[in-house]
Amino acid sequence: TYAQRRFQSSNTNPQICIVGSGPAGFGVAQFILKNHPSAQVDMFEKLPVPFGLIRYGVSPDHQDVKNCINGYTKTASSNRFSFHGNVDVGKDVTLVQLCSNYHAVVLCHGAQEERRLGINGQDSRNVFTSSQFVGWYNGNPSYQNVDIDLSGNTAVIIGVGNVALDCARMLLKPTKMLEDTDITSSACNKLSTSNINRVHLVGRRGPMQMACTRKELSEITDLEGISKKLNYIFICNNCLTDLKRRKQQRLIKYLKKVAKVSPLSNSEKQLFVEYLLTPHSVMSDDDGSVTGGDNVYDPDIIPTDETHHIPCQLVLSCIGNDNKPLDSRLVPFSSGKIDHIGGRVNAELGLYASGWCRDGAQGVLADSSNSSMETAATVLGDIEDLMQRKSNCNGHNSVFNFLNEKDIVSWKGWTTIDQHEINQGKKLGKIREKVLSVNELIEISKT
Amino acid sequence: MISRKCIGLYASMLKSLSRTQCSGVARMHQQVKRSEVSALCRSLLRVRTFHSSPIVAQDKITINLIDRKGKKHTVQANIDDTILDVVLDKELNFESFGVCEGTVSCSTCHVVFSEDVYSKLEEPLMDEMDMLDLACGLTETSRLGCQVYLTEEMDGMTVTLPREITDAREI
Repeated sequence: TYAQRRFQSSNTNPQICIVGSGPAGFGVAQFILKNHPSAQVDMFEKLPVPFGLIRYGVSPDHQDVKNCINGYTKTASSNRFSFHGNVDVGKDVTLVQLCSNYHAVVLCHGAQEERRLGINGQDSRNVFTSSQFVGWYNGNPSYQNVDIDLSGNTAVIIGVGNVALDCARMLLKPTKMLEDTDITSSACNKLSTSNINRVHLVGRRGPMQMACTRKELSEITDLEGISKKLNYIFICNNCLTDLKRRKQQRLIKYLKKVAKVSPLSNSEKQLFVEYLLTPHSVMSDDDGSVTGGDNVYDPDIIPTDETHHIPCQLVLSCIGNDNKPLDSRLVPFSSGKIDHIGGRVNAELGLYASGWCRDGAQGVLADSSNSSMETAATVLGDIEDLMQRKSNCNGHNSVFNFLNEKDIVSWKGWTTIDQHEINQGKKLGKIREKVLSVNELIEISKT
Repeated sequence: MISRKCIGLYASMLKSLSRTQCSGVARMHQQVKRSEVSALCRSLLRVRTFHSSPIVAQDKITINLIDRKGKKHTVQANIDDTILDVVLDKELNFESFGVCEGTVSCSTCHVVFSEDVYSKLEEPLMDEMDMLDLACGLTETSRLGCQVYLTEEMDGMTVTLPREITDAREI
């Protein structure tokens, strides 16, 4: 079939390369395959397994969000689609090489730079980023070394977005409710021995700027046995009725309701939501462990000298990620975003971008879908022109010349891994048991 | 003879029972329950048609859907199906529509109704309200297509998929 394919993939079929296999990448693939009768789509992914944050970011108790995988799997079954896992674009193959071999290259590699707190003590023991904590419990091979100490009773989470709330919920939710999910068994076991019963969510600004949604907040506050404390004076009476602020309006209404209803009782677990506190420093005692965080009270973004000390034994910073261009020479980047027109980054090279790598690390599935539809439409609009100008593109037939040494995981390799994980999960009464190392994933993909 | 009202009451009872604190598994259960209710409704209506004499109950209506490119699709749809059901059954192939498969975990089945039809719809549940918060191109008459069940009164109506790409959430 290879000889056949080489004959077919002559210059009459557009060769499209997608870098990244998360929602943005699959969104682009779906649109292109559906709207062009002969385009070939090659998807490259750094990890041996696809789906990006759907697999490694979405929390184990949010399985519904992962239903989109069914649609992506269907897309992958097209004979005009091929998946190449364990290929690090930038290291194993350069962007220039891709642009030379494909008519269009679409960057969908997300935003993976962890933001640092930038304060004294941020490297103390038991201070982690959200990428580390979430990556740990979700089985991301890059974060299995995270040695998290859950023997203390208070955790401080810097940030009040959905990721911060995910982390708080993982710390406070009874592990019985997570046992049958796809959380890694090792993380679930560790969480079951956790002594953490107080979680402080610390926001730099006020309730009007809270980045989380009502739904995420209610998921914790509705859990039984958790008492919550919010500083009611911060929740203003002016609920904006403008539809653009609808999310905030509903969130504030809900905060008011929760703030009224819950006095501090002798509940086993407590959630505190603090506003207008900017982290100042993390203080540790002699052996390097965290003993407290100083916060600077910060009304109306005017810093004061007042500090608020929160004794704790674990600090998680959930302050978002930054995106970083794969190749700063080729990708125009300003204010944390890739410059583009309708997704087109560089017309001459045939370079495009979609999703978080382009617009920054925010937005939900619908936003990625929309961004990808827009970009894919732009690609298809340009495709005639690209095929005329770049008439020698041969897609993966020539790109693999650069990748001789690598163990590349095909889609079939992924389905083998998938089945293995599901089978391992069945034995433990779980949806799946994820394989935790890259080497093991590659080995299993070959069986 | 079981009236449509009773069927409707039964359906909303099931909805609210399965509403609270859904885990992934519970949500799938909720979806299964909804299609069971739909099937139940349809079969009961047919029974009614068979047993009652002159009146023939109509279980199909005509609806129009305007896709993201502005093209109008006119289809025959089953009463008690959701708008997402119709899009899938009739293979309308709208891109990225109903990505989470009707489990109220995304907002990609967002549709806009006319004011007239919208005002007659049942109030959305909290789950749907939460997802609508994040929908792109949100309007005063927006709903999630997976949560709106077709009724006889909707015969001839038009729903529109929003064309806006940019996020309405920008502060």
